[in-house]
Amino acid sequence: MWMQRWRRSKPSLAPIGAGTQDVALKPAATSPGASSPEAQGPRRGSVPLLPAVCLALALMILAQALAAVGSRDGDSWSDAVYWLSTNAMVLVVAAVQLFASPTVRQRIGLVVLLALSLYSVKLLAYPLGFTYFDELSHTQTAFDIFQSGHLFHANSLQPISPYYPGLELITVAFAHLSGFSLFVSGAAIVGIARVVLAAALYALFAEASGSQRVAGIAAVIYMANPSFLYFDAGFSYESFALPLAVVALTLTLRWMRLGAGWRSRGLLVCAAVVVSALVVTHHLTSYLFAGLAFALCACVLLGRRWGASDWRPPWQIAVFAAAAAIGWFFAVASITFPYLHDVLQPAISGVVEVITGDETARSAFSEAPTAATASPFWLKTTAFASVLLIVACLPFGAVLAWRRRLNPAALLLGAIALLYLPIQALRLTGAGVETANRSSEFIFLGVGFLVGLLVVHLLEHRALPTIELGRFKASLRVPSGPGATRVALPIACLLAVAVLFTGGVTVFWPPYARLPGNYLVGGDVRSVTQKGIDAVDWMNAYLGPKNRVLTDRTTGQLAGAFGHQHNVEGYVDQYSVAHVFVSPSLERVDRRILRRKKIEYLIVDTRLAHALPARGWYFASAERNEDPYEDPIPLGFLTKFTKIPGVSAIYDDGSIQIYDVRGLVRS
Amino acid sequence: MSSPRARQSLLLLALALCATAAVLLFADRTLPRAVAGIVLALLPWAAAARLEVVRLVDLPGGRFAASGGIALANLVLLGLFLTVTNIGLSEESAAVGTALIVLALTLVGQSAGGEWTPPPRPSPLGLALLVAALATVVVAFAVARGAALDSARKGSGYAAFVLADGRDHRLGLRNATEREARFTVQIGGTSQGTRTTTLAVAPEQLRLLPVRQAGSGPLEIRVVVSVDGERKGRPLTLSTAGRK
Repeated sequence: MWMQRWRRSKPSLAPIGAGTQDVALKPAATSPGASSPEAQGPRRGSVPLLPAVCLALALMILAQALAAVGSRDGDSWSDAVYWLSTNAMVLVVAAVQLFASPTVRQRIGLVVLLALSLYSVKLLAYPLGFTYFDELSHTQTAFDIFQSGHLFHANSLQPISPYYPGLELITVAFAHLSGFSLFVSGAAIVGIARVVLAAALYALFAEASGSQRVAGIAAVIYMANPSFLYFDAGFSYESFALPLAVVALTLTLRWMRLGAGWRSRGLLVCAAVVVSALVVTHHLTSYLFAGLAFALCACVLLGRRWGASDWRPPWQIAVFAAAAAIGWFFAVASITFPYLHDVLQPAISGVVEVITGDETARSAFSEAPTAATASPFWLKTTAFASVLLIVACLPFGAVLAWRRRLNPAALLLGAIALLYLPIQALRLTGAGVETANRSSEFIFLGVGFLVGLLVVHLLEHRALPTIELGRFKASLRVPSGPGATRVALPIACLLAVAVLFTGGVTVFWPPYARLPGNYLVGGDVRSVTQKGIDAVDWMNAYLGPKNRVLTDRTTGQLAGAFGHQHNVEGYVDQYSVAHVFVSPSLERVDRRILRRKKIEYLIVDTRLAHALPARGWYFASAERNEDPYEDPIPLGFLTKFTKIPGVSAIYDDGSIQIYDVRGLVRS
Repeated sequence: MSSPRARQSLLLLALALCATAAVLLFADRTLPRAVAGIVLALLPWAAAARLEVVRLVDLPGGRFAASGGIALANLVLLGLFLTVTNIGLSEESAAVGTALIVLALTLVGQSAGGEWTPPPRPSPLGLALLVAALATVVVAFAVARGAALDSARKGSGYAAFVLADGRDHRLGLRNATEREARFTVQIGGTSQGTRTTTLAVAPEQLRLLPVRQAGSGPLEIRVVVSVDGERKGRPLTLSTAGRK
């Protein structure tokens, strides 16, 4: 059977161990209704388990809702409730996966329920509309498709978004079918995609490990990755692309075990359909998938050298994926290269400069300009601990994956996991932090697998796997005494899961963005307020769409997404367009900026003068040429436009003012 | 071709037909439309689950994921096809296109063998727990949404704006709160010199008033908002640049 295909040929490798529940030693069920003990599990109590966990998760979701309400009111307990309930969600599912004996369907159900529960955290915090920076960019693309029925309208918020419209296409289609708003439709599509992702992850880890228990816990560990809770739950193309990629990977792996014939061709067609949708959804994910497919070919060839013969290299899928991605690039999305270059080049060159000493390494958690926007000490410690924990686990997990190296899926995931440490080097630079964070959704495919292998091995053998490198041998056995010592190891495993999850969230997501609250200057999601939405709605209603506006970061996103205005960014000569706002008077360079960029309206949020910006800047990262703010921007800088000849102040709501500068620009 | 399989196929096709008709007939934001739309959107998933090649994915969770992924991918590609052709992505084209996808997948899956094993039926206790869980989640979202709406309402306030209207202007006064507000408007630079007027604006209402201007000089407008005699916030200031 396919589970027995990998063999241990080298005598120095330690055996997996006798008497385990690991299905790797037993033939797997390959047709429905087959009743191997591991595949079906015990039937006793099988139904109440899942409903009971459902209710437990539902109560945690209610706690999250209360935390969100408390956070809006400024209650100090909301943070504690937030952390307790999110961790409880993860730990309940982890505990059941590890210590109960659920059936296969229940294991998959648990993983899906956890994915949905964690998704609800984001929805409960912001249930009225999209608020994340990237979400607003994709909202504009979705709106344009909804209004026109066609593609490739310019998007001033994210120019590349219209060229990878997969998410927006299915969202608009669903909005047309259901009559729901774009927000509800988009949230539903992302939710469905997460359900598919959860099941696909389970299948992938089951394929790689040959164990339902490993698959269950590995999927939970995956959901502890820094981007899963918030970034991958957002309405953005990456969130939709990842499930497609994992499904395509699962189909590919299945095809690799199939013999030639019409069924094989049919599976190839299905994989091609999914890959085609992936190609039009997200650039990097489609490139990475093509790379993974080629890597699987290499894994199969390596496996054949080691004696495996039951897998076919997926050349057809790899070539198709590469050709489709390249074809889309040249036919439609040639803008992808400069876009990715602008993102990746600073990150990579920053690391090189740190290594060569030309630049000082960035300190962790260094962006928070105020105590209110900084993570507390215990969270920072947990974040560091999560990274160290993963680094400590990887070698032992790699040993276990190596024992399965004749399985290309195991070999591939093991190789992906080993990229974890090099990717962390990107965090040494400010430009690389974002790239490191976003790569976690891919890297954790491997990390989740290796850590899952290790956790199950620890619980089953009460010992770490033996690492043998020549004469060097490392191993650690946990003494199995009575009472507390028997419970200590399982509790330690659950504690490790909690550390991974909490640390992961802390690493990526700033503390002020986890829960809703009062307006926060320069706080992205916390800067999205009804006043800002009302102002841009007014612009669309009374001034019409597509006016060229200049404003701060968050208001610019709102102006594009809800006001349908053209948000102007960039430079004139060596000056950022933000110079217009950060200068004490309207200087010649500012007038030049307004004329060269053909600005029609300025949107000024005077609340910016109340505090330092949470992100470190108000308008654009280059507005002060890397000089950090020591004091909030003076109010006079923002209100200097009132007495300028040729400028009309046409809107004022007490916080936001809109200026018509067309007279000035034309003069 | 087994009889239960044919019945499944007919059921899928009948559902697709009814859902398509309902989507086209019922208006937005009505319950029948919402239900029909959701059903129609999920039917490709059900149809894909019957494909022989999906049944080959013998990994736990694999069939569920594969059929879901294939359905999502088909809808993406349908959207792509509609948007790059003259057909366009609209209510009608989305509904008919989705129905055609269901038809195609159902026909292709008609010849597949094997039977679907239904999940075990929940016990009464299990059912009660599930209902309680669902009710708890609904309450959670209602609580969160209510708080968000309250916060949004409090965030809305008062606004004033001025727009050109030929040679003259229009002044807009918006009260987005739930209480009546009085707007004291002082306008300078009009043909009548500086004039002051006070207007009441009902809750969640907008009032527009003309501002006639003689000459080409700029207008200066100052608006003070008060509720029950108490001033709200700083004065709102507007100005026009004047005409050359």
